[in-house]
Amino acid sequence: MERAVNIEGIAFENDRFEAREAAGRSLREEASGAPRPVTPELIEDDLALERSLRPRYLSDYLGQSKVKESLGILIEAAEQRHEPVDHILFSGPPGLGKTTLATVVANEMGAHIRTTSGPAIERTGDLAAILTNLEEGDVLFVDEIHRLNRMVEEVLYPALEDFALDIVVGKGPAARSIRLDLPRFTLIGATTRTGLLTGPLRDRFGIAFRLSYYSPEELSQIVERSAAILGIAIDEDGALEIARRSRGTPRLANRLLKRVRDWAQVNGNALIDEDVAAQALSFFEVDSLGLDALDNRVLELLCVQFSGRPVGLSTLASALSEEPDTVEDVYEPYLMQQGLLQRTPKGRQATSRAFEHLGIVPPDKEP
Amino acid sequence: MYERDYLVRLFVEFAAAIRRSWEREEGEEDPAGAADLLETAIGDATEIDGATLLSLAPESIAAVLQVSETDPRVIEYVVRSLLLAGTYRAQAGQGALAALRAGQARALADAYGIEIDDEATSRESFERLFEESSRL
Repeated sequence: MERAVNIEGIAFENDRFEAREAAGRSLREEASGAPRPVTPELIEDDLALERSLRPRYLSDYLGQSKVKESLGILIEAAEQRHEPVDHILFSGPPGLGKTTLATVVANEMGAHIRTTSGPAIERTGDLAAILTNLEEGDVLFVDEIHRLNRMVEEVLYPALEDFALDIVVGKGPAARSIRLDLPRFTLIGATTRTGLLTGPLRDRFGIAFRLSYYSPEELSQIVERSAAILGIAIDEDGALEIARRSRGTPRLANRLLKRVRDWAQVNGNALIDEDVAAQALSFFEVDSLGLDALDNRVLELLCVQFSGRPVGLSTLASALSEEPDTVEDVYEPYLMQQGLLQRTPKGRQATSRAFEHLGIVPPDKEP
Repeated sequence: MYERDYLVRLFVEFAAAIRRSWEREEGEEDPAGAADLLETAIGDATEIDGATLLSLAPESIAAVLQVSETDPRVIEYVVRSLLLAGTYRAQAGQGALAALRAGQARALADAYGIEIDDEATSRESFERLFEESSRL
């Protein structure tokens, strides 16, 4: 039967700011219409690519070894008991494989997966529709689960704990609650903002996994696997060069692989080696650390315009023509992870590594 | 006596909603609005949050109405209104909702042993139902 409530993205239609905020896109991207080449968020180009490259089983999944190991045990134990897997929460930055792992769990269990997202479930009725359409053992995947509204969350609690849906019948003093049994299912929630998840919801997940960034070696394996699936000729060093510039994010690695393939094809390179990958990525303004032009603009402002002095967030945002939140949420995290920027009580400041990266002598070391 | 009055009031309200839906669909050429009218009437008659009730899977809506001990005579109105709402949804180009309403009507009819035929949503058939209800 055709499902009445479906889902992905409908809640975004009337709320561009919220959608942009959720997707971590900047004002510049909004204005230009083109996403940054290094955004870890899902962009339209990625959809078909991810579908074809997504691993189906745990054995195909590369990286996140501890998570894989734990999931393997969880799934095997559930299979032995002939029960659905306990509710699972995946958290971590975008592009690390939360959706993929949800699909993998469903495949390993031989279950159907129903996919929705927190903002798409606007009313309790939407959730009731989804829950009553589930079948025994199904996996319900809720992306951006931290954006579920509180009323909907309340309906979800008995569904998670008792596999039941409470419906109020009657009005006023005669009102009473009817409990409707639901099939046993597994909820898999994904969130990039664990801190925004309410305590009661978090507590109802049997197990929570935090996905971490991938090492260049792990990403390199992913690039090689993707290249093999897409029929792209690439050597080990070429894959590693793409991996090094992919900010620890498989989605980005796959996207950059595609860009490099295009560049190599146009420039008549049959094989992607280290040199070809480096040239192609430089052409697309993704440098050796995986920084794009906007990241480098932040560093230039801090190192050159503000001469390495601490700069307040709002001042920096004004200089970039961005919102302070965007600077804080989109640009800063990766620059901080790379040790290029630090937050001090006086403001944001470039580190000596930032000067080194830009090839500039820090003012305090000038002759 | 009280129960009879209560049921008659429900039937009168249902009949009024169905008639308004005809006007809405024909006069104002607003099939989606006509379906909304019927769905509100179903929520009011069953005293269950209409939006939640009508979003349930067909088998679930039947289970909820059985557990809530809704009078079987009201159910016939609910079944026919669901069918009519489904027709309006289809006219409005809301295919998924139209299929859901039809599925809900069928599941409910099966659960309560109500026979539905091609004439179930015709005006003549509804007028006969209104007439029978008024003789309660």
